[in-house]
Amino acid sequence: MRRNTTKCIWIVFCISFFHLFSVSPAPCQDAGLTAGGFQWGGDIELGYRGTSIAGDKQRYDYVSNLQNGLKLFDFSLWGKRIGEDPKSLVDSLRFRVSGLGDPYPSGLLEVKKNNTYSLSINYKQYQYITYREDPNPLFSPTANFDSTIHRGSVLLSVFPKDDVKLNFGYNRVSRDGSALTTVFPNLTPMEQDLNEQYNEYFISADFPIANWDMHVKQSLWTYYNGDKIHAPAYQAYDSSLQTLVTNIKGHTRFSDRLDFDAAFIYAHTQGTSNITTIPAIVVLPGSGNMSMNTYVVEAGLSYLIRKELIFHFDYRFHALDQNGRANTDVFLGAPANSPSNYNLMANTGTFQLEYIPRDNLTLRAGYRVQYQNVNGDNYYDAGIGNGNGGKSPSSNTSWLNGWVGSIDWKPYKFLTVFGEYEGANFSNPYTWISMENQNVARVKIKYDTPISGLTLKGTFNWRYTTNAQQDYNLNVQDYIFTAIYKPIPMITFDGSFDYSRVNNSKDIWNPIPFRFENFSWDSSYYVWTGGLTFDNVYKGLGGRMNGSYAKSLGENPQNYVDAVVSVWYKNKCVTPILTYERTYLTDNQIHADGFRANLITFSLRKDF
Amino acid sequence: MKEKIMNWSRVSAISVIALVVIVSFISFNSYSQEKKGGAADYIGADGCKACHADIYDAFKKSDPHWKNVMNDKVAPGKKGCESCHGPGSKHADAEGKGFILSFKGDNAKTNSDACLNCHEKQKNLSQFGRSVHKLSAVGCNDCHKVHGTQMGKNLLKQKETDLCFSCHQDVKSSFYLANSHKVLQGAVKCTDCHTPHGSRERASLRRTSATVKYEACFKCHPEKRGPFVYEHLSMKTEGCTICHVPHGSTNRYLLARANVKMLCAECHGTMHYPNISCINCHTQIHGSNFSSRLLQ
Repeated sequence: MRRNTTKCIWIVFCISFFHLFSVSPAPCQDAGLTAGGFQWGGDIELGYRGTSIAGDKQRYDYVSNLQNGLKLFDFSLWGKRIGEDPKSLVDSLRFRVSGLGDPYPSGLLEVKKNNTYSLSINYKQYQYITYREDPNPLFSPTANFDSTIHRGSVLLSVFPKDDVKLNFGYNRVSRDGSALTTVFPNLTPMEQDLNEQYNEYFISADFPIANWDMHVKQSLWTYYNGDKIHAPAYQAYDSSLQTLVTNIKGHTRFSDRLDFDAAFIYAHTQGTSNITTIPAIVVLPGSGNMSMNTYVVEAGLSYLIRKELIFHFDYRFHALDQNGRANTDVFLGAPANSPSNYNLMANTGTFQLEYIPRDNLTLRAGYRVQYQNVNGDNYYDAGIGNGNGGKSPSSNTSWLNGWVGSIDWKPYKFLTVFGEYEGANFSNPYTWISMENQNVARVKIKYDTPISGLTLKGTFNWRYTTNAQQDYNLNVQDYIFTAIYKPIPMITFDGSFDYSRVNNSKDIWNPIPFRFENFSWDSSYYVWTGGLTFDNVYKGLGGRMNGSYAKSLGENPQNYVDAVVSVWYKNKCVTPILTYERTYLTDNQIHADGFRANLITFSLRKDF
Repeated sequence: MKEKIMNWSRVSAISVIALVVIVSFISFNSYSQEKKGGAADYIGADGCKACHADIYDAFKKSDPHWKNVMNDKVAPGKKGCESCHGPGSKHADAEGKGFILSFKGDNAKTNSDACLNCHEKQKNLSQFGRSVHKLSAVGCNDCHKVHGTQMGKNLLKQKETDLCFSCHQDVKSSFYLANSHKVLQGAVKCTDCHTPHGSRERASLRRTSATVKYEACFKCHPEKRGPFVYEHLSMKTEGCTICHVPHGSTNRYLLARANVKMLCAECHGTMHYPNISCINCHTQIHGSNFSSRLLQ
């Protein structure tokens, strides 16, 4: 009752606010301020959201997580120096924060001086919440997370010459919060503190040498993992990794006909990881060490055979060797050290011809090949026929080849047709699931109808994957239809329909009744969307109504609906915006759950 | 039978290469002749202003290209209107009828070449000529608008996600599913993972520094990158998408299957303990430094 009263007060307040402004004319808001030799602009949108959530609150947090409270939806400020001033330290700057109070806030600061430097500082945050879908830990395939990912970066670029650029950068990603997880053989979920940090420090340079445009970058990555479970089975990680990465890239035009680029990348990783377990069962307290080297050589060229015919070639050599050693695994004789090795070498090439016989027709045809040699320890290759193990016991090398092609044709100004095909044959898949044959095709049509403002788009995607040895097949057909109708400049209707038919099947060894059985899955779904946008229909009155309905079928029957109605009124002072959102989810996998939520948001926006 | 098909495929590939080399030699002379056509002269941006004052003023107000117009060090062909539209003397003589690149009705290669004339030196654009977009007839001007766009938005025609979704409608639909990366909510952008200007990764995935496949995923999820003492090898051979559907899924954790043990069984071929979810024991499914069975 109290909640409804609050809602009513909000609605009345919002309506009264509209009334206040209804007498005002609705010209464009004032734009452009001048101060300190700069032209300034920006916007601010501040508001309050009220929520009413029924059903499974945790599931709502996982899917949507929009909560009530005061929000700074957007604040931006930009400045641009009026005229040139060689003595000034700043020519332009931009500051922006958005989503403060919501799960995905972000911030940005950019400062530039033409031909001298640019500084960019970014920050983003993602709150990520999940929960176990079944209270019985034995049958629950998921773990809880109540975590936050923080991403930040600083990039300073300086330009000592017109064609030389030096970059100094720092990137950071960290994850904190908690997770609920099991530790074998204790399958009761336990709370784990998350403490993970990744840092990248780099210096890079872009500069010309002779006719080459060069890019050189040296990076140091560090990673730390200090995740910890306190009780009843204490487990603490103390892992750190350092990776040095060297990038050298070059691009040139040997002639009007020949464009060429090449790159070399080398990365070396070294790290130590410690674990403390109390009590120690299966995994003993101890440490692991690992090192890895990665080599990549890439090259690509485009050769103009004729004005309308171009040959393209891309090649990559990729090698990776990894060595690990740990004294913790009782299955491998712990506390004695046990080694683990993995190496991969792959050569990949793509040959393509681009043919443009007419301005409205582009054809592409090519062939793609890959030779891969992979060899790694495979502790799960226990060998019950082909019933166990991820790796095929006889496979170290694989050979992939297949055609690629596309056509883009604009027979008339109002009609565009696009078709694409990719095929792949694998002669010797490394893992049991790797497909032996894959065909992917896509057709898109865009039609601007004779009805003024009405555009229709259609897309058909098809993917068919088979692995005869495993009786595995995957068949995906995706039909999408979109319509956009703009009868007058102020009003736009849009709608779409997507039917994604996803079926696959595979023979799997079932201990009960102790034989291979064919399992099949249906992951098909429908998505309907629709919307209406109107702007300045009556003075500054505008709005947007849109909704989506996603219905999944087969193995995970689910209904997810999200509908939003937003109305605003632009005027001389500030723009009031009222938004109502209704969202609900029903999910019947394992056990029925879901939520129903109503959200009402009132905000004020000012552009300046 | 299978070997026969493979041999045929290899022969086909070799034939294509041979054909290209032969044709390229034959065509050399014809191309040289194509280059010898008469050319118009540069008249400068002020010459264009006489007829296109509105575009000129908008360009002056908001476009980063403007700074080149005033720069005496820049060659005439690389500044102002004519850096993109080509020399304008013939166009002016013909009172605005033809003789310049109008970006209307021309193909993606011609339109893009006008931009790449200056921008191909940028390291992220050097592969655009071989990108999936360009080879599918998507040119620079299909996404960017040089006149009348706001500063600081890469001269994009629309908001980035709307622009991508205008062609990739199938991808847009998957973001409406209950489990998805929060692209529609603005938390993640398409270009956080993909580069529209081309890369050698599949799906034009962004790769800042190549160490392993799917570097784009590890940018936000570095704890899955490894290397680990005991790797889950499919992470290295097939990559993240062997288990996850990155855009949106009907299943939690963006998994390809609703039931995790079925997802594992697709590769491992057996139920092991049919009623227990695999990752209740094999919790370190992305790789472990301590347990070969990925238990801890």
